[in-house]
Amino acid sequence: MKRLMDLTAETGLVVDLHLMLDMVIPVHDGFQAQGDLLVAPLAPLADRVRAAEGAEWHEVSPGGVELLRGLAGGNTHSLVADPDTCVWTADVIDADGLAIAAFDAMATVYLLHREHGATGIAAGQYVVRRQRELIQPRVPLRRMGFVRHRSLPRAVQREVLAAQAARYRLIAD
Amino acid sequence: MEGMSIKPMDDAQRAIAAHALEWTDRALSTEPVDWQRWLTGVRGCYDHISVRWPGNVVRVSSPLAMARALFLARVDETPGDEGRALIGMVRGLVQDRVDGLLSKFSDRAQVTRALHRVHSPVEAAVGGDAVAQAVEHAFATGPGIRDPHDTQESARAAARRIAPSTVRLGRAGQMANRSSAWQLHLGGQWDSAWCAYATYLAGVVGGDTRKGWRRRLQALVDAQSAGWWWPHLSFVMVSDRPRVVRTEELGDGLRRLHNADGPALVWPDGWSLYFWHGTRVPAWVVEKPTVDAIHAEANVEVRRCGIESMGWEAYLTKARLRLIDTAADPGNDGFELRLYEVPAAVWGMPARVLLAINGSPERDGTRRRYGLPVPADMDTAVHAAAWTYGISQDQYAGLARRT
Repeated sequence: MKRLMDLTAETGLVVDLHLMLDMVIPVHDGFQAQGDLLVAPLAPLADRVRAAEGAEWHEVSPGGVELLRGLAGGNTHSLVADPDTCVWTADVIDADGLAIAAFDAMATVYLLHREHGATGIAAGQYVVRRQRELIQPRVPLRRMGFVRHRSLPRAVQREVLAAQAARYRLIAD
Repeated sequence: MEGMSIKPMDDAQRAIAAHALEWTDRALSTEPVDWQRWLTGVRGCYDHISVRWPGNVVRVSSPLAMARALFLARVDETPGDEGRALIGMVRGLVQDRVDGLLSKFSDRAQVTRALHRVHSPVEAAVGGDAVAQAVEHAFATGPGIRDPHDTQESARAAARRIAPSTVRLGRAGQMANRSSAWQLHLGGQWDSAWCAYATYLAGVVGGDTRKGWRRRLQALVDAQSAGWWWPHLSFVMVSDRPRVVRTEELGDGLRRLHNADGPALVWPDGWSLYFWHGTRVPAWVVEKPTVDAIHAEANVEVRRCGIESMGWEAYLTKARLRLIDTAADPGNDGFELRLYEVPAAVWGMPARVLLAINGSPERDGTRRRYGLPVPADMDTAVHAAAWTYGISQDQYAGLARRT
């Protein structure tokens, strides 16, 4: 059982000082959320998510693996594990388009974030997904005047300017 | 793209990323313009299109000043006659010539890579044609006397310098269309995306560095190193760069125009534009968002920016939107989720919004609340929260812990 301060000492990653550093990090094997990321056991989502064939699996080093960097100077979610206990891959196929990584842990691993502290994950197979929100319907593309259109590369000018209505966009801390 | 998922990069990817970063910084630079270099480039362009160098360079303080100056000087260009305007010749004989050769020398994969990894991020950084749209808006909504004082001065001074030499180029018998002459400009640093794309491919293509097309490319790149420029038979008008550019980092060197505290672009004459996370917005979105202003706004994207600027919690309370459901936040003891109805008139389509609360406290001990728009068919708060992660209501209700 590790405390937040144990993790920060082992990995060299920092967390905000107002978080409870001496609290033992709870470890769970079910669904957990850290900010805008979801850690989900793979089995319940097996019909939606899987690792790609020929996916490149990498070992999770003790210093941690960055899974998602926040935008606009925001912070990173890092997966940390003891040596030789966990492998991860970014080559994941998700019917909902939300997965950014999958990992296979043979011992307890942790997801660390500067503002959210640490999430303890029991041994098992998991997928990490981003959060989404609804965006508005696409405003129809203005018919570009001659001037603007000609400032684009020819390769783009030739393409059909069809705007596909995306129903959602991904968000970050 | 919000947030960057990490994939290991090889050398080629690092090189292309560095190229895009370099050109993003050039596009948004407020450093003093190297006017000698710009002049060399523009003279080179006139040379390549075989037009005599007019010798009359007229500097203005902003794109808006350029547009007003062309109007005041009665420069008459009807879009549609571009083939006879010099911009058409520059685009055709310089830009398209280079573009075509680059396409010929590159394979499809290289072109696609250059478009996605170089052209796209640089174009996004400058906000596409946001500056042109702002000038169009200024013309549509107000006469020149409402422009900043120095913009008007710059426009008048420039108009006086070119007025004696302008020529009516409209078709005989056709009503002169003066208000859109400004559209026939080349974008300067605002056209950086093409320059970034072309210089990248030119580097990849290799081969003889003395080739003529490389000289054309260099001339155009140099000519695009200042602000907008407007080539005419009798003069060249060129705008200054902005003196203030405010952006936010998106990771890996990607940037977009944004400032929550004031304008994101300010030109030396005071003409200012506001941006919210890459979208051009009216000043009120940044300076003073109110429910009334949000609801009076015609543009749905601007409305969304106004709500974000005000904050969903404040907006939901002040606009008194209908509360549909509240529920204990699974895995986040003592806090609750709230689901509100958002009128279709506000969001552009029926929608609901989930008011969620951070699982971790801020430095001052409070918990930040934020709004997540969700589809209108979300019937409960927990269902809405589950949707945001793509899982079922039951799966989300069983969330062990949220931080």
